[in-house]
Amino acid sequence: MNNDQSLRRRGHVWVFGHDVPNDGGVMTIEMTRQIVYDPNILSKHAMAAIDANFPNRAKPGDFVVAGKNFGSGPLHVQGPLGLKGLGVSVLAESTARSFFRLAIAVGLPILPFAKGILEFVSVGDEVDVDFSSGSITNLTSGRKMMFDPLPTELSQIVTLGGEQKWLETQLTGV
Amino acid sequence: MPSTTIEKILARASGSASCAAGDYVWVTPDRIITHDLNYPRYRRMLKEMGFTSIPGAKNLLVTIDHTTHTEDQKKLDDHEFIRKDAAAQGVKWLLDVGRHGISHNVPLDLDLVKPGMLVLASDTRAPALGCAGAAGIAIGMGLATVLGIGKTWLRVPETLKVRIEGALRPGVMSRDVGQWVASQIGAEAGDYRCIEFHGPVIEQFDTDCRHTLCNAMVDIGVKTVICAPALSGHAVLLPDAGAAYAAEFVFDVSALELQVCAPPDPANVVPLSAMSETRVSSAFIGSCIGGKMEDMRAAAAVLKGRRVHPDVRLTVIPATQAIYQKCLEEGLLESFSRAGADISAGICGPCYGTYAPLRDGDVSISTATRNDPGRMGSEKAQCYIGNAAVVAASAVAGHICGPFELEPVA
Repeated sequence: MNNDQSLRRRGHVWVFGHDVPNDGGVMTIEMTRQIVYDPNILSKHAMAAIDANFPNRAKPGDFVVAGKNFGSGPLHVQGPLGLKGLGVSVLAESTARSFFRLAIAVGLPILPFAKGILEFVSVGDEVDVDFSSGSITNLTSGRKMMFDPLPTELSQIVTLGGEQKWLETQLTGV
Repeated sequence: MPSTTIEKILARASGSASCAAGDYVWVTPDRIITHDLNYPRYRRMLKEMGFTSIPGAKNLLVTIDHTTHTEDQKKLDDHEFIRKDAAAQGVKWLLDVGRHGISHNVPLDLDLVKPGMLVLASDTRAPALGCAGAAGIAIGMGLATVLGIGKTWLRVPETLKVRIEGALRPGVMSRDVGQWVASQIGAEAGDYRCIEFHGPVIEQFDTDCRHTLCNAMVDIGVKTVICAPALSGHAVLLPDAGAAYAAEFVFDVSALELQVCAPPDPANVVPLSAMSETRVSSAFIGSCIGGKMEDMRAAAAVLKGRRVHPDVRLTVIPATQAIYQKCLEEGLLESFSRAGADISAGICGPCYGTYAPLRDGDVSISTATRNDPGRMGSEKAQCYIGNAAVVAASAVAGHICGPFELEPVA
């Protein structure tokens, strides 16, 4: 894959704990029950069930850092869409299967199995993440570490903006 | 390197010599299964994008199981879209209304699922097909990609080896074993894993019982479940000696009592004997996990010669038209009908909350898949889950109880 296609983000770290559910964690229960698929609307409620200030204070490029089993529960797309709407990415010790697949489907950058991430970064650290290689540089601590990368083709899907956009390229052979 | 069963299946489906837990693979499924809630949405999107054909049409099964009985014109339009599109695309198996069944059960009636197959489905309960030695994996919207290009990505899961030993006490059914084993393994161990079932209980279980057991594991987040021992007449697909497992469990079910899942979700498993008297207003025997011959026979044995309690509405729905037909031939429908049950066939029904939904204040006992608030209708209804004989007995008694607590039939 060309370097210009690599999936990279730089921003500040927000730390959440273990077992953050998709419904009632990543997205408020109220919004998962609405038939809303607009990332901009959903972004105002992302992570708000845990930190009400997050939607207002998180900046594009920032990272939701979580412990094990991130995004567990029903296969509802509102959670990943809300994070995408904010322009943030996810780095988790481990991720629920359903959330991982939804994240790729909507084009949300994620390192789903970043074992050791909670020890590598702290709240407010500035980090530079290359999802395609798994390389994370903690600009605050000056440390660099390799994590399980997102495979090339999945990085490509996310870079293109999700599975539907990627499917279009499969059709045209671009 | 020695492989687990799922590693073997995914290696073959991805055209690789081998693969290991944590690898990402692109797989072409042997069977693709979807239903009326998903097929029209995915296909309309794909057609709009310019996908003119379905690469896997010869392996595709589409059934109308969720909205079979509806007054919603949009849903009726969806049914018509399915009929026309499936015919135009050469979809191998279209199970239209009247010949339909729940998507997780009809493939077994048609004998389409064989040991070692990879089955990709849009609906969550797909791991139930592990009963036939296949890997059933639910990928939700990911199925649109499969319908578009014939393949999709999967991450190879780690495997839990689970051995079930002992002899079941009288009245204990596969549902009791399934809910109890799921609660013992738990979501933390289950998530993203494949469960391989081994041991004498699995070997004695028939396909129905294995289906129930595999299906119950869905609620602890598993990616898939495989009953490793082959069914009679099929080739054996076994893991290699020395294959790497994330964990191994051994359960002895000899002392297991009848179990009930109490609100608010299926993880809240309690012995029936520990329940204080709970009045019920609704009872349902059906769904992909609880509408098989095992369940129908157990329910009919309780209901034969008895009447449903005047305060209770009982709904019985064999999971497929073929199971309904078998119930007819075995005389089970007569027992249901004489008992005062409402009978339908081949639909998700109350388990999806669209047929005989619960109202505010209802207390329900059923063989449905899950008992979350709101799943079966009103969020202000309470839902319990039990095996089919317990549900039938409760419908007769008007409160949650086991079949042994009923007065003998005169």
